[in-house]
Formats: sequence, C-alpha cells, structure tokens
Amino acid sequence: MSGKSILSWTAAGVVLALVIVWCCITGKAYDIIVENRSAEWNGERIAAFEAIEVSIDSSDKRLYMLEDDREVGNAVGRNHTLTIDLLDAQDKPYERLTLPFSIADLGEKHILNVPFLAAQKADRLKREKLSD
Amino acid sequence: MSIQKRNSFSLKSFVARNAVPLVFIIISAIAIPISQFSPAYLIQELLVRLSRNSFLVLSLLIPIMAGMGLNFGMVLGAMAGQIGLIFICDWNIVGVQGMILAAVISTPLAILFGWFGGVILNKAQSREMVTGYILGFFMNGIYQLVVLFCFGSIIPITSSKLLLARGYGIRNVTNLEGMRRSLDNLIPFNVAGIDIPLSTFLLIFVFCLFIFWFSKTKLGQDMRACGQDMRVAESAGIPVMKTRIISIIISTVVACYGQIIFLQNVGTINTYNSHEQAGTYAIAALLVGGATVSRASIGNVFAGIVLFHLMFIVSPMAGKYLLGDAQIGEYFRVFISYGIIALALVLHAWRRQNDKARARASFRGEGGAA
Repeated sequence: MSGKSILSWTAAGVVLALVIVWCCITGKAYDIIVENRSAEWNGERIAAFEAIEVSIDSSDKRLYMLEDDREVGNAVGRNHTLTIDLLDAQDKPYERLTLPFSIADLGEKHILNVPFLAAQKADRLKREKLSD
Repeated sequence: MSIQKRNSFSLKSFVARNAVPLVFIIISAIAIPISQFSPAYLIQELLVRLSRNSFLVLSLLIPIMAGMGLNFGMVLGAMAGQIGLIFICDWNIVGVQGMILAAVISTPLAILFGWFGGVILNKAQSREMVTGYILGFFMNGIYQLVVLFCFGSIIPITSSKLLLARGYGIRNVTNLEGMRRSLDNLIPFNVAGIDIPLSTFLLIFVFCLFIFWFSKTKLGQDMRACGQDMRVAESAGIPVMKTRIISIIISTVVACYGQIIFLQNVGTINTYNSHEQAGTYAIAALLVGGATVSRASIGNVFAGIVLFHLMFIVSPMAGKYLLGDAQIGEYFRVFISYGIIALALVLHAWRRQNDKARARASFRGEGGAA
C-alpha cells in the first residue's frame, strides 16, 4: 500500500469517525422528566409554580403542569431551551421565561425541575447585575 | 407490400418487447376512473412511492449490467439496513442523523452479505436468479435466528420498547417514529398543495448520476463486457468473477440504503417481514417498466415504479367500486406483482429461444425466419 493511499484511507476513517460522533451527539433523543415541584437552591426552598405550560425547543408538544406535577418531554441533542408560560388562575399566560439548559445538567435520570432552573437563572441574572 | 410487411412486423415486435408495460398502461387506464381518485391525490401518492422505492429498484441495475439478471439476493442488503435501524432505535438516535448512522452501521454488513452472495452466485453461473432467490430464504433464516435469539442476549440491546417480554429477541414491529419522513421533509417543498420530498429526490438524482458515471468507468465497461459474454471478457483479461462479485456488493449496499430510505418513509419496521417484500416488489416494478432480465435502464426504473404503484394505489378502490370489496383489489395487486415476474421471465425465455432460432436460421442462410 502506497503512502498516498494510506493517507487517503486514514482521512476517510477520520471523516467517518467525525460523522458518527456528530450523529450520536446531535441525533440522540432523550426522554426528559419535567417536574413542577419545590426544590432547594443555595439553602433556600423554592416553591413550585401554581400552574405552568412548558415546551422544549419550541416543540408543538406543550406540557401543562400544576403544582407537584410531572410530565415527560422529548429533546434531540445536548443543548436546549425550555419555554415556560406562567399561568394565572384562569390559565392565561402572564409571563414567559426562556431558559437554556443542557442534558449534562439534568443528571442520570434526566429530571428537569422547572422552579429550580428558573431560580438558577434568576440568581445568574442577579449576579450579572451586581457585577455590572 | 414488403414495407407493409415490415411495418406490421415492427408493430408486432414493439408489442412483444413492451408487452408488460402496455398491459399495465391498459389496466391502469381502466382502473383510474373506476377508483374515483382525484388527480391531486394520485400525484401525491405517486410522488411518495417514487421517493420511497426508487433506491431499491435502482439497486437492481448494476447486476443486470454485469449479466447476473435480477438480483433476488437484494433482500440481504435490506436485512443489513434493518439491522442498522434496529441498533439506532436502541440507541435512540433520531432524524437524518439516525438514518446516516444506520447506513454507516449497516454498510460493512451489506458488503459482507454482498460478497457472500457474489461468491455463491459465481458458483451458480447462468442460474443466478433462482440461486439468489433461494439464498434470500436461507439468509432470512439466519437473520431471524440472529434477531430473535441473539439480539438482547449475545448482542446488547437495552431498550425495553424493542425487546420481547422474555428479555431477548426483537418485537414484531419496531417503531421509527423519531425518524419518520425525516429525509423526505428535510427540504420542505410544496407545489399546489402537493408535498414533494425534494431531498429524497435529490439523493435519487445523485445516485442516477452515479450509475451513469459508473457505466462509463473501466469497472462499468468491464461489467458490460461480462454481461455480454463472459468467455470473451475473460479472454480479454477482465477478472470476470471479481467483477461479478463487485456488482453484487454494490447492489447489496445500495439495496441496504434503499431499505433505510423506504422504512424512514413508512415509519415502522416489520422486523421479520419488511425485507422479504423488498425484493419481489422492486423486481416487479423494474419489469413493469419494460426492463428484461438482461437489459434495464434508469428510464425503466421510473416508468416501472409509476406504473406498478399506480396499480397499487388504484386497485383496492377499483376493486371496491367494481366488485364491492376492497380486499379483491388487494388480492389482485399481489397476484399481479408475482404474475408480472412470471410473465417477464417467460417472455425472456421465449425471446432467447427465438433469438437462438433466428441466429441458427441466419447461419444456414435462411434469412430471418423464426
């Protein structure tokens, strides 16, 4: 086998490996357990929302949840955006939160606690304001 | 007088040459108005079926070029494609990425199956079709053994959605919901309310270009030479056996991709049966397009798919309106698909016999009798 053909086979192998990795990362689908339950953040108890409607990556599947509810959502790839509509007593949205999250943040069981994620973002925003 | 005779002869030979497509055109022309389908519906269905089946049917062209007849062994490629899809279902990879990964996984398998098929077909020269057909049955047994007993026990499969309740073996139906129409809808394109699976057609077009280019290459020319006369090709220094094996490998790999494309469109795998239908229907479609055991072109592929699937679409409804039972239309189309293969093979044998008789007559100097 000539040096040129070894090089071309190696290049083909590398490209194939990259394609496989890309497919595995961007095409992997995850079942995510989305929950609206009280959580703890920095030693503080964060209460669950009264009523929310969430969707992952602006998908058509919207999950309606009351306090202490759990639903299953799907997401493809590693990084996502969770859109939360906070609902009033008549189930009408009065505020929308858009929170980015990664599959790596959700732990082994892929549990996404919405109040926890919202508190995390609020804290991050507060810190950013203080540093400004 | 002689011109008139020549004209009547050419019409006769034209009808004899195109008997199968003509029969289909006549049946479709009768069945379409009876079925009462709208033109928009028929066009939509035909486009979907064209995108779904073209790759599978195109996989048959290269073995015909190499003189190996209709590759009934293409089901081996379909099996390889299905194994790849089962794996990506287990790993939960969806969309086009899932399709690409399934193709990457199944390619080495398809090459191995193709090589195995090619070696066997080389040992059964001039009986390639029946050998390929039986080889398909043999490999189906092995496929079933592997999928039913080895998957989940020896070969790791973890998804409970795929495994049978006993803990090993794959369920009868594998859901490809996450992949369904992912390639077809990759480039959304709609004309007058008709969805056109543009990306799939682009892929098919690229493959047609590949076939066109391939037939001009040295290997393509070698295959043609093998298809015309193996002994002459051998004496011209062409490695006939190797060339034939390569043609079967290419066909098997393309059939593997074709099955992946087919199943992404359908959205489910009938784990133990999907591949069985792939060979018969692809071959029937090609023959309906006017191809023969020894001659086929890209035009035959598309004409055949349109005519054959037009029959598939209209026959149940035509049967319902004509005889009051859609099931009769279903029986009719299954009967037609197998019947057309039989008819094409009989016509091929008849033509070969005629050609031999004509050649013999011209050798004796009788001038085009028979």
